[in-house]
Amino acid sequence: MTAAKLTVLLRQVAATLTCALAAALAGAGAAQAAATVVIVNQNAPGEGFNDPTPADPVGGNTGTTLGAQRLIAFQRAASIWGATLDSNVTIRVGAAFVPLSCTANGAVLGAAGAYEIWTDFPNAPRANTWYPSALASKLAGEDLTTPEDPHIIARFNSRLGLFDDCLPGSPFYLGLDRRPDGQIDLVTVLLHEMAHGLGFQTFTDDETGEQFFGIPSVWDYFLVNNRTNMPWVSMTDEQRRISAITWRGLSWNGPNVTAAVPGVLAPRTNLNIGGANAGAAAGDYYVGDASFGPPVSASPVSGQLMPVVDQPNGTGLACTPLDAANTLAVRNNIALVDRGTCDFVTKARNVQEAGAIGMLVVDNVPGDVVGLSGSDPSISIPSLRITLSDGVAIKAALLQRSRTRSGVIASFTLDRTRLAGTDRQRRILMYTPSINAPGSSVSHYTTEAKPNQLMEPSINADLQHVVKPPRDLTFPLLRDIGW
Amino acid sequence: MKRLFSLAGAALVAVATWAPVNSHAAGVVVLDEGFGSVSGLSGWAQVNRSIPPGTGWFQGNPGVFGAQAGAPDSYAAANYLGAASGMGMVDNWLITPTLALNGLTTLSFFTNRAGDPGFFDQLEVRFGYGSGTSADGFDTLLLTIGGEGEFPAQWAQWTTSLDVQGEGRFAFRYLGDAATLDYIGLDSVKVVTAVPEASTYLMLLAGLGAVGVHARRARKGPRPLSSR
Repeated sequence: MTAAKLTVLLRQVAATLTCALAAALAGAGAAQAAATVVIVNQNAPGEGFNDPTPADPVGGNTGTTLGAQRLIAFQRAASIWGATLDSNVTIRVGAAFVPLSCTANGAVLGAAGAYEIWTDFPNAPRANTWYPSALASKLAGEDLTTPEDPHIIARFNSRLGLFDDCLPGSPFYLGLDRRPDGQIDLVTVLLHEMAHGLGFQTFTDDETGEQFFGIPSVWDYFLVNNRTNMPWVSMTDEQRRISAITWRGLSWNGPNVTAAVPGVLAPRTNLNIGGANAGAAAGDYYVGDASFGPPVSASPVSGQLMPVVDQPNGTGLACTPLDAANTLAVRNNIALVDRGTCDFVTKARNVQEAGAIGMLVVDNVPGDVVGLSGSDPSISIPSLRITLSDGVAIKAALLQRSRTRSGVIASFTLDRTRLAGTDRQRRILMYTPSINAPGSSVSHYTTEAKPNQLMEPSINADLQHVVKPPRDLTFPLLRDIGW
Repeated sequence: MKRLFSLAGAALVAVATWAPVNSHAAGVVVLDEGFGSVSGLSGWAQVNRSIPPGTGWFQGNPGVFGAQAGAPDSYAAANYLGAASGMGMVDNWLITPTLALNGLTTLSFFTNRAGDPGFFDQLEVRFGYGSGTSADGFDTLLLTIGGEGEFPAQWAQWTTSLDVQGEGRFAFRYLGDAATLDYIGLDSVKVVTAVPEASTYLMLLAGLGAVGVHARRARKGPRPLSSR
């Protein structure tokens, strides 16, 4: 076989999401696993990793300029991956801070992927299959990439938190101590983006289902339709396209991940709707867990579900302290509030102060199950989130309520028969939102995993700079594809 | 006895009576509704004149309270969401089928409310001649429950009588500022009218009745006949 190489532009292949960068290397490492990860600093003088703006040391990061602190954070992430992986080829990450897509309420933190992909290199486990260059070089036992090129390319948002149109007030946290306190933990973002570059991505188009140059990615052998068990590699383009927008439809079927799942993932949180007036709304619902307040546990929280109504259109935002009627409604009950306008912890605080024993947030736009972000140690009631369509169904049953009673009982419990974010065969689900998110869909784990996983499409506050079981399923997946 | 009542009642009697329903046992039951299915009611009408209109009358919610009789949800209910989102003025009508009435007629029913402190439900009972459902036609106010008067927070029976010949409908009207309202139930609605007489006699009474329709529009503060 003849080795084939393609250098791909970030925009074409790089998976997406969160970021990566840095320099440094992990030394020869302690355990038997060892690889060296270094940064290829692609920022111009005075920018990004070279930014000379003075900075105070923070959270164990001793750098005295912004650029130096960014490099030190990169080194931390690189050393974590270096201690985890095994390769005799130094992994080069071409990294830069550049402006990325932003709004006041959300931002692309970073994007990364393989800089080159290879087929049919020496010792390739599968013929005619794309491998990312860092993995291909490891498997080949030699650096396939020319020394001046990186294996991974990564971009990080240079404007994050620094401008009104880019998550104002939530810049990268450069400390190394996992205490970002509302900021975006850069080391976590770096770990996530490096994983994409190491191979946590498909090179097959998640929007059209077309294989890159008609050749499947190693990824595609392990991605399966969990109803039919047909792997991506065996599907038609159209079947792949449809499967990528089928929520809970695709799972990872690799032996290392599947073996690790029971030790990593916790029982699924369940919302049960019952009671004398539940009617057609009765039943079990998928929910997103909250990163604040007590987690739903073995002792269920159960109570009358009562909506907060403080908007002329009948919704309830609970962004301000509740009035007398809403207070009467939610006291000793579970408060139903709508997403929007203010953050989730503000809503939780307001209904808690009104005497609610739990909070159920209804999404305000169509979509799939997502969790509730935020942090506030003063929140002592559990909160869950449901989709807009589920919320509409449940609200219909609440129209027949009195001021204090709805006849609809909500119970927050654990479903011990199912692990959070898995299919019925206990395989972890992949991220396949109903509306395709180019670059994000397929190449991430589901958002329903509990605890939150590093390779979900969004960064969560409970991540711990860990890439292996028993906390995380990132490394097992890389093992499945050949690491 | 029955004939005497019919003659004496040629003019409309729009007051609540203290007499128990079964004192008119000689009559004919023309309506007996237990609200096993509010959505499946036959001949009844709903008109929601609230501003802005929201939920109409609905099947009883046993999570608030159970029915007076029958299955726990077998009653009709209305709440403050009659005005959309519970913001505005509620004016929510539940109207019986068109009934053929024949002299002294007694309406009885049970009603109840959720009873949360600080809220003041109000239910009017009205009568209108003919088969229409326009609010203008229900110009005879028979009862007002709640509002300034008492509205028990338990099932209580109310009765009212009037003398009428010909077709007509009773209307239950839940009304008030949505901010002051809560939730009420309505159950076991029964209408008994006099046994039909000879046809010539009926025609005579019909004429008299029409004359007397507007004679009185009494509004009293009746009290429940019984409760349980």
